[in-house]
Amino acid sequence: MLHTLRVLLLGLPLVLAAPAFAQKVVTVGWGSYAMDAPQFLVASEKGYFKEAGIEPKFIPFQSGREGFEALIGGQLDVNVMAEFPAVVGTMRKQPFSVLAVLSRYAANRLITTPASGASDLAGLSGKTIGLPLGTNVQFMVDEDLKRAGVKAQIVNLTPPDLPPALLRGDVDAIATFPNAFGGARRILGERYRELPVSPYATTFVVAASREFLAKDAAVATKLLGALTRADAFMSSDPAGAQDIVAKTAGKTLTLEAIRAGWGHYHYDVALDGGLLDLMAREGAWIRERGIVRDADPSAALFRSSVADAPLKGVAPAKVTLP
Amino acid sequence: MTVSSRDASVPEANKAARSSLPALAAPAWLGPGLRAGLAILGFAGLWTLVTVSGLVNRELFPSPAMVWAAAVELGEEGALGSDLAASLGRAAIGFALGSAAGVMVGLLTARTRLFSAALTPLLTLLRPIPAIALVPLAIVWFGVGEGSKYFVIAYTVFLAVWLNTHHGAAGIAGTYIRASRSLGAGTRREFFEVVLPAAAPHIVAGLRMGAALAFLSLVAAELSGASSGIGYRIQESRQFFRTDRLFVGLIELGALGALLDVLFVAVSRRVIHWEH
Repeated sequence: MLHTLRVLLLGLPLVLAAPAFAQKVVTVGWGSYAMDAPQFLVASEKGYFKEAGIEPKFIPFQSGREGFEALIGGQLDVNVMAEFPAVVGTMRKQPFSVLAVLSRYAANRLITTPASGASDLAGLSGKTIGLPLGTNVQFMVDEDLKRAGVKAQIVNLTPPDLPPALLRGDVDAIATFPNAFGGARRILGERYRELPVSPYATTFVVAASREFLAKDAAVATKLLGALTRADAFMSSDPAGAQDIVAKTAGKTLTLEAIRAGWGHYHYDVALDGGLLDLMAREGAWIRERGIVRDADPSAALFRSSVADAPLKGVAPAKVTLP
Repeated sequence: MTVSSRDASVPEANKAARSSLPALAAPAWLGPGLRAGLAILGFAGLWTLVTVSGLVNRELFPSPAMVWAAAVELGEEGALGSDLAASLGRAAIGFALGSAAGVMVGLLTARTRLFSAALTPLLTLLRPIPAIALVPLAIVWFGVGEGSKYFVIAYTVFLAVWLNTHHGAAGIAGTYIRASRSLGAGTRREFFEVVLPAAAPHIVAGLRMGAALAFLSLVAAELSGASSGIGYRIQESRQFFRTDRLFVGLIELGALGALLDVLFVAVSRRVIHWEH
């Protein structure tokens, strides 16, 4: 009896600790990316992470940019974000690596109201555009204005401040992130108008800290394996994937909104030359602005911030980098 | 007839306490300016040592030399001067609005029962609300222009000045009031020659604190809806990982605050000379 009790007491901690040994916890920086990176939600819900021996621990951030700061500060293993912080991080010699592109969003837009009197980019000449400073959105708008030969005043506003500023008439147009379009449409109501912009596609990536890759390269490969499985599921059963996103995103995103927006995204866990080309264009824009001068924004520079081995390990055909 | 609510022996006691400091005190031949300069140089030396030690990421923790180079770069771009002008203008207007309102309301709540009953609970509730939490509201109310920035700064300054003024004016010894009345002073004379001089040290302390808070809330006010200013430049630097430029903004804020504090002390010595 005493022996049995002793065995039980000694064995209990081992039994309790067993799942912790089996599952490798990976800290993931996560913003409002339910639509931009649904592979994470699908892989969690379908159990792909668990089957890969991974337990993702989602750490919420207001933006991918903030998560990126935590990543290079050593607080995260991986982070989901748009490509722009990766461009800045590479030019500022930060220790991280892009593991894969998750999606591309090709329905970017400028939002305005009838009060601005603008029906195209030319109509914004001499007017004020509100946008979040130092982001891919500013790059997109600057490129578009330059192409159209239009000069407008840019005002830095955080995404939540943009629709009220447009509604008040403080600015004539706004540009924001894809996950904020729905809110802007709701706030502006019948006054909501869209202006066509260039085919710039916001590219959502997953990046890892160098420390994580050095210590847990195999875990990074398993993580990408789970994400590519989720990608495959999303292709074969988009309605099922949309249901999962609606279920996990909570009240912030309705199933109708997910269905309506799904087609604007191209979901594909991959690494291709298009990513490097875009990063080089953004890098040239940053250098032109004079904020970061001591880096040559070539595709070769940005290639150094991409780690293709983990993705090659699970889906070599998805890696088509030069 | 001017009075002081403080014990005149306090400065003497402070002097005595200072002279009994242990041997680590700076040599007497070092003037305050030289001492401050040496302290800053010592700090910069330590800072340089940390950055060259290899223990920190120099892109995130730049050396003083890198920060100096960034300041020169900003100066060449013309951003240093224009940001300083924009921020000082906002801070000055916000401070003027907030401090004027703070002194007036503080005197009213301290000396008038009706105002005290009506406003003190509300102001006590407002005090813990940080300026940054008001930025979205300010933008909705006043737009992205200068109005919202003045509001945020004035709000922060107002509460600090109000609280100090209220305490100063409410805590005047009853003997002063009774003495002035027994000597035949009217309400107006009592206010200007007893209440105001007695509360003045507290009002000046509130203004001094308000000036520091104006710079604190300036950064919050300029984080959104701005195209210039020190807060705007800090935000821009953060977005582009230019920590060296970010440090320039922080040092600018610190230097401005310190300079303003020195000015305040100098001016207050003249204005409320009976306290010194």
